[in-house]
Amino acid sequence: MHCVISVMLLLTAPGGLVLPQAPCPGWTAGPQKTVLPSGIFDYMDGAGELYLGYGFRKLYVREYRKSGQPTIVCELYELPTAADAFGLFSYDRTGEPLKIGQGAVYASGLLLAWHGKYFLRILADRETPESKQCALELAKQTIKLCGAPGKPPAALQWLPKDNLDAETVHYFHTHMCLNYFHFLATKNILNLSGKTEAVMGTYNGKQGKSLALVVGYPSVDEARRAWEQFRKVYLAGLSLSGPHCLAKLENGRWVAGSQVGRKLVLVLESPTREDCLKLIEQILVCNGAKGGKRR
Amino acid sequence: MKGDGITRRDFLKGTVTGVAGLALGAGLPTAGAETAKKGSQSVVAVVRSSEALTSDMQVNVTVCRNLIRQAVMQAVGTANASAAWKKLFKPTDVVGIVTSKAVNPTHMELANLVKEELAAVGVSEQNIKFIQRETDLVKECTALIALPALKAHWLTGIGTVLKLYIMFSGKPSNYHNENSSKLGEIWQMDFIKGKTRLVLIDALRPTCDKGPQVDPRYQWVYGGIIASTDPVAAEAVGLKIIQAKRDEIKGEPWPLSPPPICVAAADKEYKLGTSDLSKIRIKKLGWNEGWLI
Repeated sequence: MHCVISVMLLLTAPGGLVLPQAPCPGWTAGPQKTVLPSGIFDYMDGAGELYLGYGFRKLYVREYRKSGQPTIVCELYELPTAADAFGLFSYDRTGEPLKIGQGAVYASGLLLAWHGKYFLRILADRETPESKQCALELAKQTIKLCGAPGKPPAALQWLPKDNLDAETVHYFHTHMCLNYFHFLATKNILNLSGKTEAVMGTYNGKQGKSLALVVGYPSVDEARRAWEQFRKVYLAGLSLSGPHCLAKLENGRWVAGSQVGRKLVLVLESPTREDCLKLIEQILVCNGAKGGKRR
Repeated sequence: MKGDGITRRDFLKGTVTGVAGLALGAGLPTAGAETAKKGSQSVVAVVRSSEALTSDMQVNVTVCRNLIRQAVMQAVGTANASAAWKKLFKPTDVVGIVTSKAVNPTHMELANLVKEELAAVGVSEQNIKFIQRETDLVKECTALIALPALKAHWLTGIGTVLKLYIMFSGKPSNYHNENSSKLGEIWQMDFIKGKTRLVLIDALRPTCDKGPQVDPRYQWVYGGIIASTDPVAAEAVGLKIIQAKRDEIKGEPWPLSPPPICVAAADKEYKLGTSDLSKIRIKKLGWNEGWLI
């Protein structure tokens, strides 16, 4: 009964969630901080843009200490949507998969997870067996505060599953995030913004890997403008062939693109002409283009 | 930079060269003590010990004192460390030791050791300043020592030497992403220009991916101090180490993204030093495993 009452108090505390106060025996919780977007750069100088790029609304932070053990920092980010929480989780899933929340990994003292519209990041400044055990317990308790599961981004369906390496799929909005995953250009040549959705993933083939990107724009007209700009800036000087502007890059790899409705489909690098063509047609079919032809 | 900025294809075409090209896998000759040209102007010393950090990642002060002395001596080319410090700094100097705070902070034990070395050659204690963001203190200094930690950065590719002074610009966001090529501009500001007499990179435990926050998955114990009087050469060598570690982790080329365009620009546009690894003489001493250069 006591536990039930405690959890209810945590959930109903004024000002938002309250992170666990005694997750592990012997560990002491410090005071909780709540960081708003306006204060993100005071909290994490130089790093705030990533979280702003997903439109984060609140960040709850608490430190946990125990004599002889590393400090554990727990950060819980509240995002506008579950899709955005997944997006933050998708930026790097390297680590041991865990059954916590809707997805979690652990490696070298860092635990990342997402659940509903929350992204969780727990970091021990060095790893010990006890800090790992506490981080796992802290994650389980924190995820319980995050409410019901949320829906992953519908945009994940824009990438066909055949030969897709699911662990490489990223969901994001902004140019800064695109360049974080794959440098394309210093200028925002795809007109990415908080109003665009993008998914990127790697496909495995016999000749090597292909990288695909699909961007959804608010309107067909905006997709058209982005496609025109991509051709003008990125494909300039290349010999383009076929309806998908297939072209060979200077490194011998292949690029192709096409607009389908309000989406822009790009295969940014592919090892062979055939792989590139096959992949872009698969993606176009997946996104409603009949026979892989442009609308 | 052209009107449309730099694209990935510019790297593929080779129109962006130097270490920035290296970062996108363009490939450059491997530099090192063996390949450096005789008579090179820029010398970078990389001195390492497997015992620089303890098993719980604390700084081994005794070992690091020796690393710093060896590194400075090798970088300056004197018979002993004291002579190197005396060659670089006068007792009348006001010396700022500039350390990094964000993401992968400088181990402050190293800054304290540097302070001791300066004091030993006659610089008075009140004339040695620890600086992170205090522009007013920089203005008071007659000499600076750049002491950043080795790290990649998600807005500039590399966030070590050239980015260290970004807060002194008063407008740090003006030097991110495509504008990171202008980081060298900060080193030309009136109150900074010509003051940096020594660069010491804390490469005890670098981070080879760009964060944006500390990510232990991409930190490793390198146990090194990198020293040079050429900030661009020191950055280029640090970048080479980071890139090599990334490739080692992935087992295939894993380019930094965004590319570290600031390094070649600091050389070509701002004339701050040498970015071409084939023109840098690298002196390597110490722990003979995992050099990455």
